[in-house]
Amino acid sequence: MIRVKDFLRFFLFVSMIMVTAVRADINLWVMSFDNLHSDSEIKWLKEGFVDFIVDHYADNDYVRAYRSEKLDETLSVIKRNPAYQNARNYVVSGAYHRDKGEFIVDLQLTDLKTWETLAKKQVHEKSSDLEQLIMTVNKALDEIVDPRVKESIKTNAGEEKTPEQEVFDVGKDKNLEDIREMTVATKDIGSALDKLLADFQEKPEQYREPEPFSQNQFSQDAFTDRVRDFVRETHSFEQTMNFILNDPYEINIGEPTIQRLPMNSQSVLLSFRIDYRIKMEIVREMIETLKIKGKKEGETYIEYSFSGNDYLFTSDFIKRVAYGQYRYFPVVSLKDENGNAVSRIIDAPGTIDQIKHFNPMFNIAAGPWTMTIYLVKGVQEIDYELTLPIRTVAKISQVSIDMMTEDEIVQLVEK
Amino acid sequence: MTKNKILIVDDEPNVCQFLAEYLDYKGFETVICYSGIDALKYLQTEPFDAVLLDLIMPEMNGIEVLEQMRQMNIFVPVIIVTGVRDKKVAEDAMSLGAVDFIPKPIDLDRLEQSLIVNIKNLQ
Repeated sequence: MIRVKDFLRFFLFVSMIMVTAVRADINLWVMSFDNLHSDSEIKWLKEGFVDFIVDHYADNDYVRAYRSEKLDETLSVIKRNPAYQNARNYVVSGAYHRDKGEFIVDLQLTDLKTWETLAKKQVHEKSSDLEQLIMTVNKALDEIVDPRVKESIKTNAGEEKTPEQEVFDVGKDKNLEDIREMTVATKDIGSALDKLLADFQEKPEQYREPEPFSQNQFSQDAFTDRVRDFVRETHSFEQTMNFILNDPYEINIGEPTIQRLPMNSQSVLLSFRIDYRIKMEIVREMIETLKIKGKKEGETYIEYSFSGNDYLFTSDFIKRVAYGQYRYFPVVSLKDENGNAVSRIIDAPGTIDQIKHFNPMFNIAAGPWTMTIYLVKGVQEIDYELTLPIRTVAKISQVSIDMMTEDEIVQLVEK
Repeated sequence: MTKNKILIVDDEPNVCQFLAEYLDYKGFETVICYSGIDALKYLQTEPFDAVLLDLIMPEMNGIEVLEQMRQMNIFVPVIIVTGVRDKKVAEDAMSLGAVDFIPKPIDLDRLEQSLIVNIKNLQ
């Protein structure tokens, strides 16, 4: 017999997938790129290109790009999910190498339904500027994807988006708009909460223990809306740090649960788990392209030190480190379907409604002659709990996480 | 009807998965291994109709795998699938018994044709 808990979990899983999947006309499943000559200096681009492409299509109305870690799992997700099946699913594969200082990147678009190679493109980039390379690759991909989008629009002409599709295009949280765009993880939880609440209200006499969390079950790589506006060069210390710190965390949002409060029939305890981890492979590979003076590695950490003899640490950079401008803390916003925050958890020290859970997993200690970078390995699992009126929970459609510096948090709180 | 069985040897898991899914769709049976050493173990214990072999791999590269296959008297059509576009390397591989040389990124149609032709030749 299927237990209620299992059913609920299955329902949540299906509803989450439905909400997140019915989005685009074209889904691009982006695989890690092939580093053709096993060039260790640019090995990190294997995953880097995937991130850049996923970011590039984050705001596209017709195309959605997802990381495909394992193609067999991707195919299985598509097969299980009608929402994906109804869209066109293309795999993006790529390979890159350097030849006489020139970057050569091959892109290939393959239809996952027919395994037909739809398009191929090779791009050459002479500039050593990483931002230029990213733009060139994204532009090339646009050139091979755009004709498919036009085809798709033609085919779907006359069809209107369903309300479910519209939910995805939530507006930005107005309070954060003029600070900077920084949302690093988002998840739609409206359907799940609706179901939980409906179930809850149908059987008021039952007291339900909180469901155990299942890690990462519904998580999607939602590192979207990041502004990558740094001028980057792979061998400049400060610029490499800026680039890493622009997006160092991988964040997964677990499923929400609600629990009745014995003394308060109008409110519930809303709980959910968020996992934080450093994008260790990319971060480590990028750091290791720099000239390292020392490296210590333990079970839970990696520590790198850099010498002022090798790099000029500018006083501006040292000040920014000292002022904590590289220490990010999560601000978890529960939003309604219009993207407005109905409740917010600021998980940082020194704020008014502070709760202290999160410890930064990327730390820099700076001095004029040495610089130390400390990376925390593993996952930081944090269970967040909020007591909210049932009517407020009913409005929640999405949870999103912004990683903010303490200064930015103060600005947010002052608003 | 039995499926033709292909051994895919590449240290890049994504390349292996991509080829395996494609070949599965095209009606082949596939086995994946990520190193030349493992490939030789498989080839000694299981019959294969063809091998797709990468050249640049840690520990044992594709040319060394071909040499070892020769020494072990393993005669299976080997198609080199590689990012190396050096003519000399291609010639070396062919002299060691490789039957085709397909550059990466892989042209899937060409790969399928090569497999069909080379497996047919062997039969």
